[in-house]
Amino acid sequence: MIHKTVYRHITVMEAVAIFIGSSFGIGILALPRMAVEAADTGAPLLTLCGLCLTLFGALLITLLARRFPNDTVVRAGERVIGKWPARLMGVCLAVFFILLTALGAREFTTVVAVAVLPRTPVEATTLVMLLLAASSVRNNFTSFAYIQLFYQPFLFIPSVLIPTLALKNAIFTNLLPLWGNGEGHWWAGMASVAALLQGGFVLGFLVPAMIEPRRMPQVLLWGGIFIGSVYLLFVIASLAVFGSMEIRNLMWPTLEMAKITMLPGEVLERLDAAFLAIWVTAAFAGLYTTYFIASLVIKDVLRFEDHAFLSWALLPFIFMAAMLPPNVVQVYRAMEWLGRIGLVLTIGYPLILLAVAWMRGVREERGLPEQADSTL
Amino acid sequence: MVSLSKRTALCRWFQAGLTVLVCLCTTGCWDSLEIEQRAMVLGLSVDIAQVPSDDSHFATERNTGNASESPRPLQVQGRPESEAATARATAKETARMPIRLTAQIPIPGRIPLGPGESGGGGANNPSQSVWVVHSTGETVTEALQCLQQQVADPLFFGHLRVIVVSREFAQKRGLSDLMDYLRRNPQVRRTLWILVSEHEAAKLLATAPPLKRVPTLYLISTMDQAIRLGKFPTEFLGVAESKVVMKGRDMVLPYVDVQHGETMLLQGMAFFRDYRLAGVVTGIPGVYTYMELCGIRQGGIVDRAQLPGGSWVVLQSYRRRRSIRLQMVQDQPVFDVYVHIDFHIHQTSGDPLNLSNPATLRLIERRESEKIISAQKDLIRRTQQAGSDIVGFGEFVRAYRPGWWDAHIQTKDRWREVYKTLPVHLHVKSRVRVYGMRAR
Repeated sequence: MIHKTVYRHITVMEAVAIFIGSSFGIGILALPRMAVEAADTGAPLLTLCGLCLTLFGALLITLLARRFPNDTVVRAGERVIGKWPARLMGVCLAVFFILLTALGAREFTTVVAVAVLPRTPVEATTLVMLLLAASSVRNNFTSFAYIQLFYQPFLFIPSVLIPTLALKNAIFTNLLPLWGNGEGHWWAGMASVAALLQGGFVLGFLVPAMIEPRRMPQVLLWGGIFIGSVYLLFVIASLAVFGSMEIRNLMWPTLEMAKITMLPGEVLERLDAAFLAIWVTAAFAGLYTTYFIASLVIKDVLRFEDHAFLSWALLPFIFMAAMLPPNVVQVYRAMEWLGRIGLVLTIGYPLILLAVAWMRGVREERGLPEQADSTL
Repeated sequence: MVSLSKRTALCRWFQAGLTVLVCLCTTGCWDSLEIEQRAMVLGLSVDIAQVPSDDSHFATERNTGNASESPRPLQVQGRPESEAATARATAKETARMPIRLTAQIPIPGRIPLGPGESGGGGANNPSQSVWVVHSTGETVTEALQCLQQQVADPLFFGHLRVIVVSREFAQKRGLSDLMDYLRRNPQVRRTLWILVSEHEAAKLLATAPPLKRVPTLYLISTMDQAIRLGKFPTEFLGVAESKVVMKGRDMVLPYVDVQHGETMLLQGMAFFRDYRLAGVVTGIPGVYTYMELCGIRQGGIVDRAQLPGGSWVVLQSYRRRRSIRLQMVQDQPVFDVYVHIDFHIHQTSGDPLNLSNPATLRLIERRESEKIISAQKDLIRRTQQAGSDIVGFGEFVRAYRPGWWDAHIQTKDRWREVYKTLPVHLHVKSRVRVYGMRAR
């Protein structure tokens, strides 16, 4: 069954850009602290494990995509486990991504309020971010891919520059022992790291739009390499510079690392404001993705032709959810719990689908061409 | 059809209006603050207020005043710690030791901008280019609030480069709450220097040698150049913050004093036990010894080695390398520290001495090594007595023997007990590389 919405425009490079853009976000600011709290100096190893978990999730989606190259995750679900159970899961996914968008926006504005704009109401900054995301969500998949691709340099330049420059103050013993002193909570920590990367679920919606769905493993490989190296670089650099004990003292170690970094020649003596200004794009890319997923899920569940009007319809709910947590502690607690529940949805659900599809032997009807329908 | 297009046009106008409105409402202008409306604090000094003030506002009122002068001589300069103050502190405990804060705020018009520019507001004397304000309070934040009462423009700490604390403050009150404030405030840089002053900190902040346009900038360039010349390790706030919370390491800060009433002397370093000053190392060799043990590559020390027969040579180190070997002997850590230092010879006592003789060079190297080893032993012994592991041997144990660390140590306090009797074997190898243009 080929839906009208199947149109094949996305190249592999664009898909990689989408995967990367979806995985970078404001969460990376607190990432070293989360990893260190879970595993002490084992933080880099923990991050690696978390990345593997994420890539495992992405692999499941890829396998699912190989089975159903013309269907999004939600529609594939309907074919595998039946209409209503899949719709129920779709609703769960939609709620999850709505909340994730809300908390992502809230986390970003909290950082901004603490670090640079103390007098600007959080409501105002949140609203701006959400408006921006909502107006972008109205675009179709092609524009989504273009926007993500366009912002790649803005993500990569600071994420390579800042850790590298900060390494000037690194102390090697801070990185040892590799697995950390004392007992850690590795599973919880891995889940927290993987939870930052849940935007990768967008791959499940990407497949029907890709020109060559069978090249998904390449997307996975390149995306994994880029995302993994940047995440690891941030964690290793901040651990080496601050040490595991000091990172526990820092709300946003990555931002603090930008603060300690000087451009050579003392052109800029601190990069935190510059970093935050550039990182708006990363926050936007992350929000855009989760918002986009939420509206795509709803579109698929309700069988709409187009998702555009959903963007404004969802905005009030997202904004209200973003304003719910009373303080920064609650923001992070909520993110932690939501992230773990989300892992059940974004990794568990594809796993179940694959298992059931394999047992029932459901797959794409052979002989149907993966044809391009360029109506959009 | 007409009505439809009309409605579309209306809709367009509505959308445009909404866009403009959103843009206006969400620009972040809440936080706009023009640069001339900020009172940039360049330097702060923190002392323990000598007058116990229950009413801090009262004290502030009295401390306000002709601020463009260098600070008033509140105490007799050079008096270490008055017995009265010590007695009072022990009696009242550390909880109530009001802070006396001095801030240096540059006066924009008075700072000469170019090198040739002079007399722009009569700023030949650097101390006149800043405004010095005092205040008192129970905590740093309260004292800063009192400061704000005296300054019209909002204080801005983004350019704060140096905080001078008096030794008394660091010893009795400790830097815990001050550093907490600095960690919390987003404006504060991590590359800020905290200097420990032997005597009154406010006095030190006001020392104004004519080299720089603003006194604080002179303090900063002193530290920057000291790092470049190999006189001092990089120990700014961010580094100290990291070290103070490490389980196997303690922080050191520069220890300075006013000399002849007008120059700042970087006389050594202060080492800490947690946030409290545990001792000071004065003199150039102390700091160099620390840098040798920490393995900082950049050398710079000038030292005189005495040879038998009354002759001597002056050596300057220019490069070092350090390696540390950690062994477990009877389930206790034992350290071997290998330091290799390369020297130039700058001067000798003169003629009978012949440097072209390899035996002489070997003798010089041996003498210098022995001297360095005894200095290193002395430093380690002193820090062991104080229970302050500034070199970070504990970090090596934690990093390379994690099993033993987790089984026996785990906390900083327990490491301190081990450190007090930690065997450290020192091995120093000196090498004279060249001895200048003279051939012998």
